[in-house]
Formats: sequence, C-alpha cells, structure tokens
Amino acid sequence: MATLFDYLLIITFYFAAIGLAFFFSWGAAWVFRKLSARLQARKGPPAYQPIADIIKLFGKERFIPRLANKFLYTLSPLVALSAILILSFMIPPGTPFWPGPLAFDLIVILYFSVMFSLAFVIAGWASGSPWGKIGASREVAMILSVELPLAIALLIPSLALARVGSGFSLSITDVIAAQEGIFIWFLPNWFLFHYPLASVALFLALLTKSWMRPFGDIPEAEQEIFAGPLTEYGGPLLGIFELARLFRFYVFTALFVDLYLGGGDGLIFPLNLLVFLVKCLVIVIIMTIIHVASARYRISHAFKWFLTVCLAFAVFSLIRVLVGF
Amino acid sequence: MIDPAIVIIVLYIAAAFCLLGKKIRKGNDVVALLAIGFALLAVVLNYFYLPLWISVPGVFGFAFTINGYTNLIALIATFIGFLVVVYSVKYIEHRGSSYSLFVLLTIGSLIGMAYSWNLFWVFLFAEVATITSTFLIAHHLKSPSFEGGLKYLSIQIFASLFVVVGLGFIYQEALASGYSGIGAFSIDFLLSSGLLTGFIGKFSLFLIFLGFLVKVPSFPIHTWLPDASTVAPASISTLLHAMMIKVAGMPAFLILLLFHSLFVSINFWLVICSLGILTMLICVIIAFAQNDLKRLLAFDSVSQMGYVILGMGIGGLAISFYDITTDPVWLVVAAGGITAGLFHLLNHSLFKSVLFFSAGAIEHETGTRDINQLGGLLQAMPKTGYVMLIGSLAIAGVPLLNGFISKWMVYNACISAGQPVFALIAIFTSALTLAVFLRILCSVFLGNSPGTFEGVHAAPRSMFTPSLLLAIGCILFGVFPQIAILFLILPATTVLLPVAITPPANPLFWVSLDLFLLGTLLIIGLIIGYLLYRIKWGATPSEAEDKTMPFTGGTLKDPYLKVEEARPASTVFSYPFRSLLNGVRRSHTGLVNMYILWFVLFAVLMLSLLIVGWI
Repeated sequence: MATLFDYLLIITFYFAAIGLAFFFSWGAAWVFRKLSARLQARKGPPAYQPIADIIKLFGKERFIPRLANKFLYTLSPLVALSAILILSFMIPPGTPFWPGPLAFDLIVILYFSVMFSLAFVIAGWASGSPWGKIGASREVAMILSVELPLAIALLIPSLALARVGSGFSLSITDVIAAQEGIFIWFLPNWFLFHYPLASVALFLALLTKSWMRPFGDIPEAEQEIFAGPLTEYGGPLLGIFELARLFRFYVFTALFVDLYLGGGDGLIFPLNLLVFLVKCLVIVIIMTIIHVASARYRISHAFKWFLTVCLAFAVFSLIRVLVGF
Repeated sequence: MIDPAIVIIVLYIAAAFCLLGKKIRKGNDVVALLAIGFALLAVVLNYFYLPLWISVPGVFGFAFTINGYTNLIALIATFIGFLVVVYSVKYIEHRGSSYSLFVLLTIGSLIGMAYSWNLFWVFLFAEVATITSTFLIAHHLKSPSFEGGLKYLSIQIFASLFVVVGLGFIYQEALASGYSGIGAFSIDFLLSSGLLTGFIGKFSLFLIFLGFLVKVPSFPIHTWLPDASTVAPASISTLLHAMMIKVAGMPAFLILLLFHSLFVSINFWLVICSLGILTMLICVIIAFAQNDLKRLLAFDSVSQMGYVILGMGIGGLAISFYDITTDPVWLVVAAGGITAGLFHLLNHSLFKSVLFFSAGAIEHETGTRDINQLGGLLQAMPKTGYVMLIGSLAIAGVPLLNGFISKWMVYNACISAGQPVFALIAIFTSALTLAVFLRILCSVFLGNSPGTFEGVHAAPRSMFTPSLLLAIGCILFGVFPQIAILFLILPATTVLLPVAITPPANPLFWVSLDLFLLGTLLIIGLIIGYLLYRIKWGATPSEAEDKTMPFTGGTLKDPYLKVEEARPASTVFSYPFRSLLNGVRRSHTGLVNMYILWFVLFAVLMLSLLIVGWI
C-alpha cells in the first residue's frame, strides 16, 4: 500500500507534469496560431498571445445565464480542466518520470479522454442555449464516431507487446520501453513503422479530439452554431474551458508520440525530454497544416470516415497483431 | 446465524397476513416492512457467519447452503427487495392486498433461490418467483399490462421446459446409479459423486443452462424483459432488473462454472463470450431507438448483462481450457473474469435501481414516460435529477464511479485472456451507453420544459431515499472498490473457482490502479479550477438582466426560429446504425410466438452444435 509520503511525492510530480504540459502547450499553441497565420498570409500573434487571451477572460465579470442550471454550468468547466490535468499527468513525457510502480493503463487514459469530452456535452446542455444543445449533441456524435477506431489504435501497441515477447501489459511506459532499438536499416523500432495504418487511424482520431479540422470543429462550427457547447460561456468559466483546451496540444500529441513514435527513445535525462518535445512539436505542426488546409466536413461524413476508413485501418492492424504477420 | 428457511417462512407468512388486511393499507405496509427488515437482518447476520444458530427441523427439506456465493446473491436480493418495499409505500397508490402479497412472495422465493444449493429447489423457487411476479407485472390491470405479463409468463414457462427436461435427464442418471430423492439434485452431491459424466451429463446441464439463460437474459431471448418492465410499476421494474434477472439468471453460470470439467472445449466458452458481446452491442443499439424511458432502461439492462456474461465466459474459458492449478497466470485470468462479472452484477443492481426508482418518481410526478415530452425537470425535481445523473454516469463507466471499475476489470480479463476483440467491442458499447444516457439526461433533465410541468414537485422522501442510498453506494464502490471486492465478491469467486486463491494485496487484479489517488488528483484539479474561478481578478459582477439572457446572434424577436425546440434527435445518434437499427426494429414484432420461435431456433442451433461436438 502506498504511504502518505508516496502520495505527497506523487502529487508533487503531478504538479511538475502539469507545469511541463502547460508550458509546452503554451508554446505549441503559439506555433499553431503563428503557423496558421503565416499559411493564411497573415502576420500572426506574438508569443504571449495564447496565455494573454486566457488571462483577459479571467479579468471579466462572472455571470450565469438565467436559463442555465447553475450547478452543472459551473461544474463542467472544472471537470474538463481536472480531467485534462490528470491526462497530462498520466501520459508520460517520453520516459516515466515518477518513481514507483504507478502505471496507469491505456483504458484509463481512454476513459478520462471521454470524460473530458463529456464535460463539454454537459456544459452545452446546462447552459440552456439552443446552440449549446446542438453543439453538445454533435459532440456526443463525435465521441461515438471516434471511440471505436481510437480504442483499437490505442490498444494495438500494447497488444503487440505480447508478440514482441516483453509480456502482456496495458501500461504506457512498457509500450515506450518496447520501442527502443532499430527496426530495419536505419529506421527506429517505432510502432509507426510496424503498424502504419493504425497510426494513421490514431492520428485522425486525436486530430478530431483536439478540435482540428477536417472533423474536429464540427461541434463548435462557428459559421453554423456560433461556439457550440460554449456559446453561453463567458468570463472566468470560459477562461477555465480555454485553459483546459490549451492542454490538448500536449495531451493528444504526447499520447501519439508515446505510443507510435517511441517517446524519448530511451535516451538519458535531458536528451529524452528534448527529443520527445521536438517530436510533439512536429506533430503539432503537421496537425496545424492539416487544420489550415482542410475544410470542415459534415457530421455524416465524419461518421462515414471514422466508421469505414479509419475503422478498416485499425481493424486491419488489429488482425495483423492477432494473427501475427 | 439464522436459517434461511426461517427467513422464507416469515416472508411467506407475512404475505398471507397481507391477504387479511384488505381495508388497512398501512397495516400491509407495516407487515411488509417488518418482514423484509427481518430478512435483511438475517441475511446480513448470515454474511458474517455468526455462531448464533436459529434453525428449523428439516421438515421442509430445503437444501440451503451458506457460502460466499449464496451470501452475495442473497444480499443483493434482500437489500434491493427492502428498498423496493420502502419505495412502494408511496409509489403504489391504488393497490389491493395483492401487491404486498405478491411482492413478499416474489422476494421470499428469490431469497430461497439465492440460498438453494440444489438444482431442484433452485428450479422450484424460480417457478414460484416467475408466477408471482407475473401478477406484479400486470398490476395496473390494463390491457398492455396483461399483454406484458402474459408474454413474460409464456416465455418463462417455455424456458423452464428446458430446465425440466434437463433435470429429468439428471434424475434418470441418478436412478440408474441407485440414487433417488431430491438429494440427487444437490450440487455438492452431483459434484462429488461424479454422476454427470460424458455426453448425457453435458447435454442435461446444457439444457438447464439454456433454461436459465432466458432469465439472464441473453441476446436472442431478451425480448421479454423490456416488454414486461415497461408496463410494470417502476418498483416492480426495479425488482425485475436488480433482483430477478440476477438471482434467477446466475444459476446458468453457476452450473457451467462448477461443472466446468464437462465443458472443456474452447469453442464453447468463446460462444458464451460471443453471446455476451452480441447481447451488449445489439441491445444498446436498440436502446437508441427507444422513446419510452423505462423501455430504454430495460434494453440497456440487457446490454449491461452482456458484460456479466462476458466476464463469466472469460472466467470459464480460463478455468476449463487452461490448467489453472499449475499456471498462476491463468488462475489470475479466471479469478479476474469471474470477479469482474460478479462485480458488474452487483454494480448493475445498484445503478439500475437508482435509474428505475428515479424513472418511477418522474412518471409518478409528471404522468408520462415519453422522453420527447419530458424536459427541464432538473428545476422541478433537482434531487432526483442529480441522483439520476450519478446513476447514468456510473452505468456509462465514467471514472471514479463503480461502473467504470467493473467494466475495466472485464476489459482487463478479456485482454489478458488473449481475446482483445471482445474488450474492444465492450469499450465501444460503453461509449454507446454513454450516448444513450446523455440523451436521457439531456432531454429529460436539462432540456427546455414543455411548460406542462408547472405543478411538478419533488418526489416523496420514501421514493427518493432508496435511490440516494444506492447512488452513495455507486460513489463508494467507485472510489474504494477494494471494499466491495474483498468483502463481497472474492468470497463468491472462491466458491466458483476449483482452486483456492489467496486474495492479492491489491485486489484490482495485479495492475496498480489506485482509484483513491485518481480521486485525489481529480479533486485537486477541481480545486485548481475553482480557485481560478473564485479569485477576484478585476471587474465586479453586474446584475444586468439583459446580459444573462441566452445569446441570440443579434436577433431579438423570435430569435431562434424554432431552434429552441432542438433536442438531441435520435437521428444524430443513430445515423451510423440506421440500416442495422431498421432491421432490428422490424424483427422485434412484439409477437410472443415469434420470440419463442427465436428461442427455439437458438436452442436448436446450440444443441446441434453440442451434439456435433463442436462446442
């Protein structure tokens, strides 16, 4: 059993993890905005802009819409923030940096990511605005469409562990450890090269989870439903939501890097973190380019894509894992 | 300890007392509450194996056994039964003496069934419970209630034919070996004497399994449960969903797991697991299309039983196909699967009772169960709303509520048994369940009020307290599942496992998932958010009314163009499954003949597979 000291240590590491995630997300958000602006032939904001926007929101007055349910309206941003903070603690930056046998498995990560989306659904409905409700029901539809390919693609690396011979484990740290070494020629032993189709499926699912086009901004399509679930939000509560959404730049890219891009590649301390962050930044840049270059699809298209193409990719890789070729 | 026979006799006598008091409703309530309170006390005392023995001479010939498994099932039955009786005091307004009579008879028979360690007595109590609960289902004495009750009765009676034939085969075997009497059906006797061997033993047990599988219920024969529980009063729906299907359905897996040496084929257990998968997936998809609150809950119930079937199937696969006496890895898988199944059974009792109690309160106060007509009830019935929120999130598997743990254990058991496909479909089903329950929560509690619910007020205390207790249980078992697993589930698992297991230090099956830590971190996150929200950053709150009106996009007159009637249309949710859904909907004709035909086809298929020797 964990002692009180262990708990205190873990909580310290929790704050360290969210600090790292915060600063990376800040930088990545700036890269995202600057790069989008340059691709659209605009100048783009300065580096402090992402965080300045959020601080500005905290300076505004607090209010609760008359039609909203006060309790759920206030609670859901807090739940969103809390869920994504836990996610940024559970997904290690390349190498596990907490001591002891604390290994959160991939299913828990999957469920907390659903909890994060759930907060937006409840927020949309609790705000009492029709736009919020439409956005929330779109958010549910997106959870449904993404869930199956996401779950399969998340579990494929850990299922492949049993084949590699390092023993069955759902722990993300074991997945990272299994990716050290060389695959063929100069290619590293990343699951990206073992299961490329599954990595495409996971990438698209995570792209959607982090509100990037072509599918991700369906729930908050501003030309159709203003801001979707967040239409009625303003002031500090919107600030908390925006803060929670800032962490997506760390959480969802780090998940992809840990599972399919080898995490920190088993290097020594400062180097592995650096390698990991560079990989994350590359993923952010690719996501940004896709986001800027593509238009928003309709919701039925999202269903079709995820439940046919992505699912086919994921299932094909799953069959490869299970049968072994 | 108090002999379970006394509990059952007390319940039956109390039922007879209820016949006397046709004029005195309060008297009925008092008698029923006293009897069920005594039963609860006795079952809890039995749980601790206290040496205080109150016993009756064996004139009745009951074959009761007190072990971990029977304790667990009896505790579920009695606890939920107690809450059902408490709930009924205010809920059932116009009742004759028959309601209390049949409730006590049903609960008594189910407790008897839970404690019975003899196939004959299990069958007999199951029949009594089936017949008495039919009257409860038809309580409203209207044509749909009679229809639902008759459908229920005919399918159940048809299923018990299989049990009768199976028992007949067993008795024939016993007679041939020179044994006679009811004792020949005792599970201990059948296990120790080696009477059931070879094909006849397998065949007869499989017939009994099919008969009890209807009561679980599993996929092709699930149709009686939604039909019956929609027309029944909500207290009776709770009784059906939280007690009946568990107490009456679990013997199916009890016999399979205890007599695992007869079912050594891996195909057999894969078929059981696939039944679980089909049950959970198809029924949750049907639940999408429902507009009746109770019918939706009922289909979801069937879907949740799929997790139980899956857990039991994985456990059985590990027990019978692998050598768990020497291989600790597969022992872990076996114990994990069975524990997960039983834990989900317990959890499902908790949250489904919460949901049915709340649905009953809603129907009681508003007079309708149609999801499309309900709305905005969180303002009128806040307590019921928040309790139902907890129940829905628990059933959808949101972390730190009990449904998450048991589902997580089922996934882990599947993956470590080398069957990740089952786990993946179960994960997807969990997401579908979440969507189903978000639809309920959003349209019933958070949507716009249609305006007809002006006079609706909170449910009476006796209808709210039971669901509050169970919701607290959902949170408790979600954060400290070790309590439930160590004290309730593992004793039952040890009965079903052929090998003794020592409970591990961390009973969450050898993976360190520290839910208390997760809860702590979640609360720290909430506190961070709350501090960010409360800290005074600058401007003072204003009271301006116009700022608190919904955002209209600039238009002030008739701003939403009917958008305010927006609901989470089932079309958005069911879009990807539309063709499948239409097929499923067309096949659910509501004709009991068709349903029995499904069952017959299913049974013929399974039995021919058994005869061919494939399973």
